[in-house]
Amino acid sequence: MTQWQIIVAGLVTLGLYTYLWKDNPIYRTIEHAFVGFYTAYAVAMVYHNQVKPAVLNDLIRDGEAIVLIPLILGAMIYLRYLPQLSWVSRYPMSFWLGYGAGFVISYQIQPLIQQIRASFIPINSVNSFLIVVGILTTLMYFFFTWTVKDPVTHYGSKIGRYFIIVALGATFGNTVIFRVGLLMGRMQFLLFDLLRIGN
Amino acid sequence: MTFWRKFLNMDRRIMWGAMFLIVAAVLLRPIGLPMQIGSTTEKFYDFVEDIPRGSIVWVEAGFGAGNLPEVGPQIRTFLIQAYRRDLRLIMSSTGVEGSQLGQEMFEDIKSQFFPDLEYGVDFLNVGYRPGTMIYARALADDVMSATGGVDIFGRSLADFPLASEVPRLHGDYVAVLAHFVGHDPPPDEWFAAVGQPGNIPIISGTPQMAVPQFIPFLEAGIIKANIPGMRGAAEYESLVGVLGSATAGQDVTSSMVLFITILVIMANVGYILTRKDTSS
Repeated sequence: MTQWQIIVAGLVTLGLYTYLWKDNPIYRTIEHAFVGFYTAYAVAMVYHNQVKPAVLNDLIRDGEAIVLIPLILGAMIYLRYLPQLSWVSRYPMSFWLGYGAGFVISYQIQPLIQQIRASFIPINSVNSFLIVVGILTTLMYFFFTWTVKDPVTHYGSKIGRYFIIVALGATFGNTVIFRVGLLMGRMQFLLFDLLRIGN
Repeated sequence: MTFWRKFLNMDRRIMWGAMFLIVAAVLLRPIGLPMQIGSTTEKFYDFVEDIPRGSIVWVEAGFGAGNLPEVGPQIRTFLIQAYRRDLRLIMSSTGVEGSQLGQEMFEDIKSQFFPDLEYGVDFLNVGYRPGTMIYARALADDVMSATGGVDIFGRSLADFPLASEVPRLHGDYVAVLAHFVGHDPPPDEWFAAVGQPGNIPIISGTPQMAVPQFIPFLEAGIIKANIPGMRGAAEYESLVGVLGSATAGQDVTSSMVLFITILVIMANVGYILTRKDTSS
C-alpha cells in the first residue's frame, strides 16, 4: 500500500469506529461509500470474470450459441423492473430454483449420509457418549409430529434443549473471538502501518 | 446506588474504550503467553507434509476482507509450507474478494521467500466465479470450460503449463483441495461436487466463527484436517516456523477472552445480587 492509501484506510477505519460513540454523519458517509464501492467492485468482478469470457470467448470467438440461453435468462430477470413485463422474470427464477433443487438433491445426499454414518460410533469414551446422547436427545427435542407423553422422549427432549443451549453458547463464544480478531486486525493496521508505533 | 447497580448500568462506551486500550496495550507490549499446538492444526500440518513433492494442490480462496485477520495468516502460511514442499498451486475463488487477496498473498510470498516461483508454472489463479456448488461441479467436468478459459488477468489458460496438467478437477490430476473460506459455504458443497466424486481429499482453514459449523464435517471425515481460526493460524505459523500476525495476535485474543469472561461473571453476579435487592 502507498502512504496515501494507508492514510485514507486509516481515516476510514477511525471514521467507522466513531459509531461506537454514537451515530454520526461521518460514519454514515463512510458506510454508504463502502456499500457503493463494494457493489461496484462486485459488479466489475462478475463482468470481468464471468460475463466477458462467456461473451467474448465462448460466444463470439468460439461460436458457442448455447451461451445465449443463460445470457437471455439472466437478462430476463431485469424485466422485473418493468411493471408490465415483470411476470417474465419469474421464468428464469423458476428455472434457477428447479435446477438448484435438482442439483442439491443429486449431490448433497452423500455428505448427509456420511455425517449420519459418522454418528454411529462405539461408546467407549466420555466424548463418544456425549456425542451419541447429544444427537439422540437433540433429535427428540425437534420431534413435533405428535404430543410426546412417554417419559424417555419427554425427558430426552428436555436434555436435548441443554445440548442446544451449549451448542449455541459455543457458537456465540466463537463469534466473540472472531470479532476480537477483526478488531485486532484493524488495531494492528492503525498502530503498525498508520502510526508506525511498535512492531 | 450500589457498586453492582452502577456496574450493570455502565455506559457501554466505557467497555469499548477498555477493549481498545487492552488490544493496543497487548499489541505494543506482548505478554508472551505460552501456546500449545492443538491436534487439529498439527493434523493439517502433517497432511500437507505428506503430500508428494511436485503434486498439484487446488486452493479455494473463498474468503474476503472481513475474514482476512484470521484466514489471511492461515493461507499465507499454507503457501509457504506448500512451496517448501515444491507443491504447485492452482487458486480459484467463489468469494468476490478472495481471488485478488489470494493473488496479493502469492506476490508477497514470492517476493519475501521464493523469488524463483513462476506464475503459470508454480502458481495459477483462475479468478472469481459465482455459484459455488455449480461452479465446483463444472470444474470437475472441465476446468477450461468452467473458468471461461482465462485466468484472473484475462489471459488464456492455454498459455500456462500448469493449466494443461489439470483438464478437470479430479484426483487423477490434483492431490488435495485446500479450502479456505469465511463462514460460508461449508465444505460439504465442494465435497459433494468434487471431493467425493473426484476422490480428492479436502483440508480447510476457517475463521473462529465457523469452527462449530465445520467440526461435524471434520468428525465425519468429509474434511481431513482444519485450521481453526486465529488460534489455529498461530499454531500453524509456529509449526511452519514463520511467525506472523496470528502469533502476534495470540496474546490479544487471550487477554480479550479473559476480559470478556470477567465481564460476563461480574454481570451475572451483579444481576443475582441486585435481583435479591429488588425482590426484597
